Amino acid sequence: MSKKTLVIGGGIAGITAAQKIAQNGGEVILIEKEGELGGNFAKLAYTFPVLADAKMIVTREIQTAKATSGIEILPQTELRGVSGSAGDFTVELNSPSGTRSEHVGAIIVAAGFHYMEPTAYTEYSYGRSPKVVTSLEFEKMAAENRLPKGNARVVFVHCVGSRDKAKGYRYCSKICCSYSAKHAIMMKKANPDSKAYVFYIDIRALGKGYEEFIRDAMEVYNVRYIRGRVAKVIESGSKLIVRAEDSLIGNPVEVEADLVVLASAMEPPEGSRDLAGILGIATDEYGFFQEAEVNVRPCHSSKSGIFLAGSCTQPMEIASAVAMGGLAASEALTLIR
Amino acid sequence: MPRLDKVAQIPKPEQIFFFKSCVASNKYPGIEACGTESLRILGVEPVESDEQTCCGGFVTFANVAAPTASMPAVARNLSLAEEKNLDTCVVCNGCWTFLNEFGHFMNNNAEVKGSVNMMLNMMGREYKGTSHVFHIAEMYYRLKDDISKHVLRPLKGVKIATHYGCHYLGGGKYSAIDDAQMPTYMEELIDLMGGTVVPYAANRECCGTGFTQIINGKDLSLDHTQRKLDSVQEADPDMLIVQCPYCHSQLDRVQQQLNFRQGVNYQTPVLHIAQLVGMALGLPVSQLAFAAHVSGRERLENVLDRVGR
Amino acid sequence: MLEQVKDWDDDFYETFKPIAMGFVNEAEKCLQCGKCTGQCPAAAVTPSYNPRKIIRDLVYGNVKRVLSSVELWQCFFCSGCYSVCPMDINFPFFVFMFRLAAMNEGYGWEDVKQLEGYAEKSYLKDGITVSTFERNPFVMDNIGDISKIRVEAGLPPERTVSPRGIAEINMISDLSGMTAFMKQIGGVELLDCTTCTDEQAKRCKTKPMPSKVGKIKTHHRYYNYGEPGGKKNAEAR
Repeated sequence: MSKKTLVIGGGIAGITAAQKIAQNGGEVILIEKEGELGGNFAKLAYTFPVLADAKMIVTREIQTAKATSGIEILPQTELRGVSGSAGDFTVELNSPSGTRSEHVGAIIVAAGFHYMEPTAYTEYSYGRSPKVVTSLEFEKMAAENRLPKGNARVVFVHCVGSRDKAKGYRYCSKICCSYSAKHAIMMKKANPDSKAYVFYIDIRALGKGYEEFIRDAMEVYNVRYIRGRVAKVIESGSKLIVRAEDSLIGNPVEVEADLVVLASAMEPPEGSRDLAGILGIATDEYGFFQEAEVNVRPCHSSKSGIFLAGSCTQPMEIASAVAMGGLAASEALTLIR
Repeated sequence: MPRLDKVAQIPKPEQIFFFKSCVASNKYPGIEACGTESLRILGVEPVESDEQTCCGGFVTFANVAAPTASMPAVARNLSLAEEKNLDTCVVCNGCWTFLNEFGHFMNNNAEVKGSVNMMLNMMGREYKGTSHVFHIAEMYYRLKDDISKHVLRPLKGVKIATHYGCHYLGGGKYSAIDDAQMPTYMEELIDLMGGTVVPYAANRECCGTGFTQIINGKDLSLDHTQRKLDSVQEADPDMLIVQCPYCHSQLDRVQQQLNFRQGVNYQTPVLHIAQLVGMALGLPVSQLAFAAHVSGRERLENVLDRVGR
Repeated sequence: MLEQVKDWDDDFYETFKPIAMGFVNEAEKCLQCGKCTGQCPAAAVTPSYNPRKIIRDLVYGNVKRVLSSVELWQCFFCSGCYSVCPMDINFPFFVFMFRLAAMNEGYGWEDVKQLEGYAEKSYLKDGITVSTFERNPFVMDNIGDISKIRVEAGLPPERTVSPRGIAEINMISDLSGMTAFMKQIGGVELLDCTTCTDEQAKRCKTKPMPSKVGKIKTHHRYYNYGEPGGKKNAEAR
């Protein structure tokens, strides 16, 4: 046991990978470009498909990582250079306190994802009306208890930036269906007088408990699911007019709403192509890191000794990111032992 | 927000081929008069040709002329500008889309261009594809600094609502100078000339002409225009600014038809952006040709009283 | 009514594309998301018009339903669907090409006939499609002589196209088959609305469709996509 592992990204996948390596006797350098660990997970209020306190879970995992010997956590640190090959990399790390060089045997890339800013979606009045928000902003509103009060109508819009060749990405972001259901439930729990409408194209509830979760939103919480992509959100006085087609009936519908929540796409982390350039690994057409083999080697990058974990490879939910972090850790361990 | 990179590509020529529009010439001559005169004041000499015909868009989309017939007609009109080595300036969204769309198509399709030219050669013309087509509203936005220098009749206190029209922003979503859903360049121009922009909910709704629907499916057309007019009425602007003579004609004339049919009272004057700019630049009232307008004439006179005649 | 999938024309879309000369693009990319219908001005006023369904029928080859429909002729050509389409499908061009295909099958000629006058009497004769002619008495009284207004505005009393220009577009029309086409649909005079009595106007609303337009045998069109439109019907629902 001589060599360390570099884990890039302190989100849930990176934290998991670091924990597993250290728990198995390895040494880890965990770098995070923000000041705090937690990544996108730390921005959530609740998890799905089980509504659990997200803050509590992520804090617990961060505490475990911090308490585990063998993990050196470097916040506000970015990777600047890599040389060498599998088992013997030299990496250059840059932080406000200066640059340092380290020898590592393996590298795990867990750079996470970014919620797309739907600025191109001018038809949804995003950026013009303060009542049109992204899901991430909704999470913040929920945490700060700023959700609409009284008899309010809230519209949730699926596929903003996903499944959209013209203004976004062609892929499906996979989790928006579930988190929009979560948000609708959060809305109804916070304000039972409110009405929630979810506009969807298809409901993609893949995974254990997901279908039941979304059906619960409809059956228990009375969330109205309308099949059709929202076409327009128009400001009209203090209200928002949401116009879409109810495509199961085939008729246009209009909702007078008080809040519109856009489920913006999961896109590759900012600077993913630059990072891939530094590491010398491949990205796909969108900028996600390319796995060597999709099915049985999902965490191998195109370069030996560099492994991938979490949503920097594709849009994925927390459970998958954790599983992939564990797999990447075990791949790294085989190399550094 | 206007796409400034696109605006930067618009030249400021000394001369431009002024493409006359059917509706503007025969129904609202103020558009034609103000269009040419305002360009002249802004330092761009409009060049006209009496060999220029209709763009052919209407008969094509009315399915009377097949694309094979309208393609050479477009090429012929554009070749008139090419002969003079000029870019083309249109006042109508329809002309803009049609000339642009079919022009691009021919430029990207050597076979069609070849056969079109075979026909044009028989009449001693050639289509090369060198004349860029600009909408007069684009030109105004490009020349906005010159406009602000020449404002003689500031539109102080005039409440103005905008209607962009579908065929410029929607159909040309990749070539127009502004965003298809949240355009602001007309608002900027109005601001510049001292007017007050009045927002209304149905701004980006179609005027309701529906190309041929006003003839073939009049009920649908009127229904839709009424929805739009209701929203305009609510905002109560002094005038509604359009950039397409066809929208102009629909929004202006349908008000009277609805008033007649339903006993309602829509009285919002409709102006083309060329007339508004002409008004601000201080053109004589006769050149604005408000006498050709159907609805809201009293209110127009009132506006003229306020900004000075 | 039970539909037979075997009746769908599997090859229609593929054979349609080359006829449409590359104007139409990538309808197979349609997600059926309904964003087009959601913003459609025609769909907002008539419940049966639905661009999404027409695209679907095109791609799946249920051509009969599209071509014999009234809805095909209700598009406003506003391009709003194209401006929001996540797959950049230029639907108005599909409608345009589709109408040509429908005419090929004998549908919609009575609509085209109504518009043919603009081509024959204005476009080819004067070079200008919209003439100074007014039929609305209110407008006539209010505006009066348009040439007077033109002169006051500093324009010539009349906008004219030179004889050469008119000759050239007529030549283009002859060469491209447009003139022949118009001859085909000529011969039936539609009612001149200015001469109608009230009694005639009333009948006009329920007037049966002419079974022939010029030399073309026309077919009846149906509301294939739902209940007929219009405010009255929308309110009745």
